[in-house]
Amino acid sequence: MSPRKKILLVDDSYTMLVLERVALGQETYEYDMARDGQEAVEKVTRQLPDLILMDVIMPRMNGFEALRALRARIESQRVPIIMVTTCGEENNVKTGMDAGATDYVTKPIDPKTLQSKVRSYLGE
Amino acid sequence: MIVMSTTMTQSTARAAAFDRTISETRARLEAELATLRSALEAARAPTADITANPGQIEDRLGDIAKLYAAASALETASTREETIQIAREIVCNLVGSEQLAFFSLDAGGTELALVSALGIDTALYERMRANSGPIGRALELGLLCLASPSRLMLETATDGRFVVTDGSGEGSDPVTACVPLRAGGNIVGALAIFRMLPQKPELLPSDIPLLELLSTSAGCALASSRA
Repeated sequence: MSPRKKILLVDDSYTMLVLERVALGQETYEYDMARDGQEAVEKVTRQLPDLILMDVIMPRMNGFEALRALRARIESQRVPIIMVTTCGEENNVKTGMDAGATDYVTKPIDPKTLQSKVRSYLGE
Repeated sequence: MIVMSTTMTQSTARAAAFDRTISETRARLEAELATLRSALEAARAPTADITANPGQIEDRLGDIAKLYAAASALETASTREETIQIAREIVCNLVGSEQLAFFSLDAGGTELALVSALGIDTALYERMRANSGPIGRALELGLLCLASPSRLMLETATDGRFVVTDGSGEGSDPVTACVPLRAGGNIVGALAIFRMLPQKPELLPSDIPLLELLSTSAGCALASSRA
């Protein structure tokens, strides 16, 4: 059996972390979690995930800052990063995409949309 | 000749009787067949519905996932503050509003005190009368009150789980929903949800179980802090 793909969930909301795991399937992937952008960058440095779900508004280092830091590193340049944003407004989306985001989902999250995008970027 | 005629008459009578039997049997079998066809259609109907609308299954699973996530998160809270914080996250991330307020009802049931808020001018809501506006209505009726519910909400949720109310209240922000917070059968406060996020302008029927979950969880948290 092939090993499970690794997904890093980055959000300061515990509720969101639970929802993302439940929506994607608790046993479908191997999950790691970070509560802010700084922790996310540190975790990616230690172990490269197959995909990252990144909240935008977080303490210490926000999602856009973490995204730029990750894209500045050769090892993490190709990891799919899906931004999770409250604001679906054009500016916010553009900021994310310009910083190197692969895609985005808006809150409140639709589990079906999230599953579809994750599977797509993991090549499933 | 007469014998032959009698024999022929008897044969004819037997044939006629046989024909009647065949006809009656055919009619009975056709009736049974019609009944079986109806039963088969009825048995197939749910399957046909599922295969024609697999998206409905996925939508329901998504709703269940949200409810499970909310319940799991609330279960981890051990203090009032943690419960209210998680309840705020649920309203923001699962229901879809970043303008909300939690109120505690005083012992006399006449005044509401603001406990926690997000996205509103708290000075306008520090203390409010408990008998005014949509919050007052929710407290009075003990029911979820919705202002301007969508047609989908009105058509789907027909089991008396909410009432429709006017959204204008004491504050400046229009109210989308008011949830009475309960503990042990008593109403101990209220959750007011103001403007929804632009990408989700209306509450959906699937939000009602989330709000009902918050009604008891946040209510118990408020009540425990009084004890």
